[in-house]
Amino acid sequence: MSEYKQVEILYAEDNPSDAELTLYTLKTRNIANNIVWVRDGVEVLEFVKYRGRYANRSEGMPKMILLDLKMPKMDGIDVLRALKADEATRGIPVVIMTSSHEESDLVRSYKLGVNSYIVKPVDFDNFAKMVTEVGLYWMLSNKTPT
Amino acid sequence: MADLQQTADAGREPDNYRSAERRTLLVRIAFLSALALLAGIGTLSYYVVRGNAERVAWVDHTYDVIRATNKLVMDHKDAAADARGFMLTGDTLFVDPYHAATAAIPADLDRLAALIQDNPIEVKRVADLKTVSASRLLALDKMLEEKHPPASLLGPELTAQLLQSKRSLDDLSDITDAMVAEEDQLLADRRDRATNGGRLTLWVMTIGDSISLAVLLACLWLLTSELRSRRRAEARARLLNASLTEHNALLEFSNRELEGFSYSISHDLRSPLRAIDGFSELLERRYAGQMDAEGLRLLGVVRDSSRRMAVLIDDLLEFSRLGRRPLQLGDVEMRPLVEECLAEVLRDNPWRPVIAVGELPPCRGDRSLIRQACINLIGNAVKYSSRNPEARVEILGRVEQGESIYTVRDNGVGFDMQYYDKLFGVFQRLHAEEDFPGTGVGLAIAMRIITKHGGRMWADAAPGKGATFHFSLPSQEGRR
Repeated sequence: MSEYKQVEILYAEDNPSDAELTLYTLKTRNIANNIVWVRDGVEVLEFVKYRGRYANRSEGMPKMILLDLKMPKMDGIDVLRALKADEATRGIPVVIMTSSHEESDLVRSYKLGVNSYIVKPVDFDNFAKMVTEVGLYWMLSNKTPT
Repeated sequence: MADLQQTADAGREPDNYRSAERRTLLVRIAFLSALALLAGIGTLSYYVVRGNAERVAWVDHTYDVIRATNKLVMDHKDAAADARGFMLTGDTLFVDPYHAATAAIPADLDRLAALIQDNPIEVKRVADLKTVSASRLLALDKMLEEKHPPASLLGPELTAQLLQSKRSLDDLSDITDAMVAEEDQLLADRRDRATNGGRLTLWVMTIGDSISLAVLLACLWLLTSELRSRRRAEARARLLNASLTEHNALLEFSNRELEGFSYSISHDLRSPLRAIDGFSELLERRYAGQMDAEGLRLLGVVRDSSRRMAVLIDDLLEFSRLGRRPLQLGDVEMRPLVEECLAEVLRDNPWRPVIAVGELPPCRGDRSLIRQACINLIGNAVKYSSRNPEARVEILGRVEQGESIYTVRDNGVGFDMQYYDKLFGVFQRLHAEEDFPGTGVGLAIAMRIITKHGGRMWADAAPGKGATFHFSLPSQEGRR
């Protein structure tokens, strides 16, 4: 047990550039170190349900899930729906980060119980600031039932 | 091509209209004259028919006169025959019929007199008749009173009496013959006159009827041709309408396409742009020590450009979102709205122009959109007057024909009206960005907001003399 290191953030993003910038920011600002980056929505569900390549991972749920909306195979909205429908994963804060200003995406996400919905700024400074704020809030300030 | 065609049609329209007016007038005149002609013929016919009735009465009258004359002659002859019979036989069987015949004669005369009293010649003849008739009756009476023995007594006296009786009957017959001849002549004259008049009437009626028939046929032709041309015009209008509707639908479609396109462009461009910006920043942070000043400058250009592009994309996104958003209409008090806008524009503004706000009538519209338009216009006025040490921005309003019209005026650098048509275009700028920062989307957005409300926006300016922007919105009174 002492060896167990809890996964702090499960991060789903198909765009490697965005992913690298996000990971860089989260790590350099010391918000999280143990981040798992997956490329699509199916992997997110495999991770939380201990399936596929995550069948043998050590037990425990991430402290928060960062979801991109547009992903191959299974998009962010479907993943969100699955997570909030399952008793085991319902309590994990889910933050959607997207490039989309689409009002309907926002409305649907909130109906499905998203915890935060964030539109990624284009310039890196604001982007980094936003990632930092979200990370700080959900990782450090917010309290979730354990 | 279609546009040219429409313009040409539109140019012909007033001419068509005038000639249609003329045709209508023509039909009206023709119709009225045909009616007048028919009315004239009708009047004429009335008089002709009445004249005929009179003539028939005259013919009857003539026959009445002839009949009365004959009756008189017959009664006289009866009386003479009875008198003769009595004198020859002495039989009183003849006396009663004799009295009956003589008694009828004065009545016969009276009737005749009554019938011919309009004709002086005949009146005189009847007077003669009366004399002759009276003397004859007197002679007959005398013959009877003398009571000659029958048959044997055909003496010279009686013979003389008989001869005299015959003579007087001849006189009577002469007069009555003349009367009948006179009446016959009158009848013939009348018949001739009637025949001539009738022929003339027939001509007049035939010609008049033909003319009015022709005129009415012409009217009919004019009206049918008018109807046909009207139907053709309607068909053309329908066709134009249909093509207009089609054009509108196409335009709407391509507008929506364009909005969707600009949205997805700006959306999809964000991601690589973020990578350029982010990675050049990472490059700067991690490898700044290994680069010389020129390398750092070049990197700075990359970062500045990507930031500028980010702003452009955000503006474009904002602009495309305007078209997709439905209007949320309400009554808008413009004074507090303008004050909010001023506060926002001046918040991060190092210079302070003189601001003058006049009467601002309320309007009807989407408050947040109108606020956006006002911020852009006031922001421009403040921005472009910043070089003037006595910068002044005026915001005025008035109501005109159901519209609220607002004016934002500055005394800044202005612009050349030659470039007016570029003024409201997306990303169109009339000044260098070094002089006045901005992407050139502000006026385009303001214009879009105003036109979306059914309002208008226009401007006038001169280089170095400032610019004045006007826009109109539906006034509260003007709404339905």
